[in-house]
Amino acid sequence: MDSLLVASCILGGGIIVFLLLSVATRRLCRMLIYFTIANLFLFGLLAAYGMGIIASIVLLVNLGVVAVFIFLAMNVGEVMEAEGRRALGGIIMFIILVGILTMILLRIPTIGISIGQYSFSEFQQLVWPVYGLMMLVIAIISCVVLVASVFTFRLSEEVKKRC
Amino acid sequence: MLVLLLGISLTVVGIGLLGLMTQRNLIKILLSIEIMFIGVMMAVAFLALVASSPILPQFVVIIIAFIAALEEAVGVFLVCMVKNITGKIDAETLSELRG
Repeated sequence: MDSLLVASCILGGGIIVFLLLSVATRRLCRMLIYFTIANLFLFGLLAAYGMGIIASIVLLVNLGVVAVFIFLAMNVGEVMEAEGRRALGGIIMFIILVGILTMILLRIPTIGISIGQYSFSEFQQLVWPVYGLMMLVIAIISCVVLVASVFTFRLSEEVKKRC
Repeated sequence: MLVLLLGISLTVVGIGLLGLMTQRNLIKILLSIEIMFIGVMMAVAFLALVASSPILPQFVVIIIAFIAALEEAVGVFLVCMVKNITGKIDAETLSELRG
């Protein structure tokens, strides 16, 4: 059987399963985790068909959506307490996910681009590894900045209450 | 292959629709809409594989992604307002129109 077909079945099945779990679960934090994992599967599926740049942008946007959901959860939803064991698990998961993403970006199939009279034959070798990693770093930095801005917002609210 | 990929996209849209129809929590409803957007994005992206010029569908995917993010931002604001007014984030409490 074609390896691409097998990869498509696995990644597509993963997307469906994790999205079903995210809809079915009752806890908000689990819902966000399942949604993020489904988006990572989606990233892999799109990247496997040579749409790595689109996949990066979609992943970036969806990670932003997750950050917005965290903001919403802190305002109207449940309180997410950072216990020691949970924080450690989160750090380990973060390292694993970033490692997988980096591996995907580095091992992505070759992409050749020709737009009109211009053609970039060495797009994969020269441009994509650098810009792909840059997109990953920008996504992580954007998420950290968004979450930090939420904490700042909460802090300013507390200060306002006390004054 | 394309049939399989479009089937996966359609299933994702179906999951979003299922969540939209069955859930009452506004956060879940927002997530379900986002899932439907993802399904449509997947379908357009996979149709780019057979399109004569693949750049245009990929551009459409980017536009859909950003519209989804904007819709999410507006939805979050609405949920915050509903929470402030009714004290709940249950869609069942929103049964009356005013104005």
